[in-house]
Amino acid sequence: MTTGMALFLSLAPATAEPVFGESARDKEAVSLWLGSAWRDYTSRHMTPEGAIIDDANEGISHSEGQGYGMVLAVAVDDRETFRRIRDYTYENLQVRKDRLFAWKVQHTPDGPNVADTNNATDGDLLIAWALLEAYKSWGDLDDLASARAVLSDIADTLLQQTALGPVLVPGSEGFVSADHQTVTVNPSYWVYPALETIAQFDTSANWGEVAVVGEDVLDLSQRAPSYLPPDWVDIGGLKLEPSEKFTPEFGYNAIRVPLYLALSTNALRMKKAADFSTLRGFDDPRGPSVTHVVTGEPKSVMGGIGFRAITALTRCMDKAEPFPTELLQIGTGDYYSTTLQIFTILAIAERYPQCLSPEW
Amino acid sequence: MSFTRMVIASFALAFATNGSLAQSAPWEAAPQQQLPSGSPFLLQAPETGAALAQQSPVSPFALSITQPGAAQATAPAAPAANKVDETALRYYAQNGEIGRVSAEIKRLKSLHPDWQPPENIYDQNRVEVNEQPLWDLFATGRTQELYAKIRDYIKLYPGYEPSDELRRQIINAEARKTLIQASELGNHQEVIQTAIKNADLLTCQEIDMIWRTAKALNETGQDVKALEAYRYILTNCANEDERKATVQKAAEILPRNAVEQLVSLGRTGLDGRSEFNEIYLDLLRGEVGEGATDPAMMVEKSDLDALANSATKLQNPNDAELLGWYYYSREEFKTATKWFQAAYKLRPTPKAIEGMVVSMKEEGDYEEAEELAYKNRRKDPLILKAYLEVVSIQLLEGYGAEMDFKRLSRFANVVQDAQSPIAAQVFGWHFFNTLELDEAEIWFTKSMEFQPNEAAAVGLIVVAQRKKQKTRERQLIAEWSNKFPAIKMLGNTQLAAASATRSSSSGGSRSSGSSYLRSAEQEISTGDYAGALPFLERNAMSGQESRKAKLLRAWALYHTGRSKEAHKLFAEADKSRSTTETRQGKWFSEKKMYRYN
Repeated sequence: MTTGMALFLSLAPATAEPVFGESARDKEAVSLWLGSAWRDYTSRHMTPEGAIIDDANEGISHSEGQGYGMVLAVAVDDRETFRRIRDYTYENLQVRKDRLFAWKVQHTPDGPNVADTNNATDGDLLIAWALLEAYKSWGDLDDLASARAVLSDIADTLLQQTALGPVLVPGSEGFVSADHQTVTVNPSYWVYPALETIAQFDTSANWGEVAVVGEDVLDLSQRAPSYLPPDWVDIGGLKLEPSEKFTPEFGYNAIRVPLYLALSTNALRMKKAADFSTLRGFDDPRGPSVTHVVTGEPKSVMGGIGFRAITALTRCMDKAEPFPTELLQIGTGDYYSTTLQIFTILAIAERYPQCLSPEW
Repeated sequence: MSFTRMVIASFALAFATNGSLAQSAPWEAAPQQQLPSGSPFLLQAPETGAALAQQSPVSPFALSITQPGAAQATAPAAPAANKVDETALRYYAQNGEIGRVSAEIKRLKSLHPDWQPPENIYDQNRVEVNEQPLWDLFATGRTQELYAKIRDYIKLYPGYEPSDELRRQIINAEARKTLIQASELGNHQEVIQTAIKNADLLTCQEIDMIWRTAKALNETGQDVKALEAYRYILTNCANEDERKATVQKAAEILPRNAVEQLVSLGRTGLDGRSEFNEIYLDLLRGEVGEGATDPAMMVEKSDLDALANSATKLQNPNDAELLGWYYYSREEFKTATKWFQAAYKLRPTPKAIEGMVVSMKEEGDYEEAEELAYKNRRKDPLILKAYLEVVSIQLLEGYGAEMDFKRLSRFANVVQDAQSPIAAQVFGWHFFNTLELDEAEIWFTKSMEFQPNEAAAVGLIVVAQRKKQKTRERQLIAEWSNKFPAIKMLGNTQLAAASATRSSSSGGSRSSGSSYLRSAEQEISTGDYAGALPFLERNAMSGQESRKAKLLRAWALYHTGRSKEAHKLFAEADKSRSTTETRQGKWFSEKKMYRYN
């Protein structure tokens, strides 16, 4: 026991940075909630092999879901499940020539089948973040090395220089125009908490700068009349506009932007998250709406507890409005909504616990 | 509505160990198993006195009868010592009340040191009943349908009970309605009668009912009882805002010594101050606030100091903000900025930001003001306006060349979004001065689209002139000379001079021709002819270009590769008075012209 412990300590990372989820778990009432939520999550949205299933998206698995699952497993201190999701991800999604992950896996009677080998940069970032958090938590140097391998490939192939600085290209294929003049980017692919952790462990790119450029992209994409950022934007030369390739909407992608900002440890980013509370739909008790960013017209309410949780989080950050207790209900949402719900509760428990209880 | 009485106990007892829970349900509904089949759903207000005291540590305000000792009624029976009662814990967990779960865990652990909370308290195990249809019926006042539906639910979902909130609301709704109606109509006697009949109404949860009753008592000359009602709130109710509102309401109707009695019931905070300290400060606030809108008004220094003390020691952001506006009105912008910053640190509101921005702007701290205003432009139209102004001032004062892409690009976005004609024409002049004529034309055009204005019209004409688009120039003059007299008066030759007058019409530029010249000389001293040129051009447009300035402009044109224009100027100068410099200039520019052009 003592020798094992000593060995473990020698491998443990030198950094004193807390692991994501650690301070949330310090609160017993939260820790119990996370335990219940995680049991529900793994029973409803994960296969025994470690595939996270997107039930609202034809039951596929994707790198984003694997990444989220891995981060959450570390956050709730479930090493066994972390290993299972990680190993599944490496066996079934790391099938490209580089060390990035195919974004889409279909589950067929003959087993998992990679349906698109293009990567999704946010999925890759989430996986790298999870590996780093795992390393911080349990000290396995293999996890650190794996994270760095992924990050080195992101740095080499997915950073594109623009007038604003280096931006994250959403995938290796299909987002940079042939003449390299226009890049299509997704403001919600800047996973700020991931980039902040990554910057402490990896030097293959200036990740701090990447995050700052992400904020600039976000700033310039928040335009009248709604000031809601579109899911996709085109950066061409000196101009930034809602992407021509997609409907100009604030939707299921961009709703994550305030969540990621709130999960940041940077005060300015947290403030930006709080600022979302003033935007259209963020005070709607039914939840935020998919909104056309040019006309400002809401199209449909995003149904699901996770979306309401994010808007409630911003309201609490900005106006100290208590977080509605019904948003802690477990077992109601699909994969995406539930994922966002748990991340939101983690954000609150870690950084804004007074939203859950005035005594914290 | 009349409530048939019914004796019930078991549901209440399940939660009776926890005071705050029971308190939120001043009456109870019959549990399903005790209902004879087919009997109606019954709502009941418990009899006052012992039954109530058993459930609730705080009795309602007893208006009709004095009941000394009621509030100190027997504590609920403690649960059997060897068995940990997790009922309340599970109840809170199921409701997602994490803070209460935390407190309950702490409490149970202190009672049972070996006890650990079960892992499954949050797991789904309760009947999931959507009460929304019930609430909808309740909200639309369809009482009978509501009761029928509750009976259906109880049959349909074993174990279902209307939520505490629903039950409490139903039972109080009718009485509340009557009381409010009477209160609004000024039927003070009826208010008092209703309050006496429905003693449950006068609880901390229904504080408005107590307030209205107190008002009615006051109106009917029963100030002693009104004071008692307020005193009840201050002795029993915990909500801070409601306590303060209580004192404020009392201050409106009761004599000063009565109010002072109430203030003395204020709880002392950790800072050693009474919770009602604020109410006195409010008087000062009214005064300083008036001073902020009326610069002629004298405000006592001691009052300002007291407010400053509240702002700093008590960390009151409103007071800091108020002081900000006060000093802003007195044109003490540094002090104003300081207070707005203090206010912002305490609580970042749009008003505090706006205050900082306008004060810093007045003080000349443009860049800081700009950053702050940009970041917060969405929070308030006034901040947006301040942002446009502070950038415009910088552009008008010639700092545009120092702005990087990001600052200019975001200004462009905001001007576009805000559809501001003034900011757009200022932007146009910026590009005109940096000789980006196409971009200048775009912004003058936008400005005209947002709202036709003289400055932008002049801008378009000057651009056309510079681009040597004679036809367009004439068209523009023809199109706008009726609307803008200044354009009518312009001949082509005077146009350039007239363009300089727009700065006064757009309200902002403090630059005169000579300051442009100074800036230009500064640029030339560092060898930056390209940087100097815009200033010289602006200076020329002022219509008072000196010979020296004209020659400088010629050299700047020469050094930036525009030899043809340089040659023309040197030739003009040489014609009026030939010097070594004019001859050299002519010769050099000729040489360059013929070699390269």
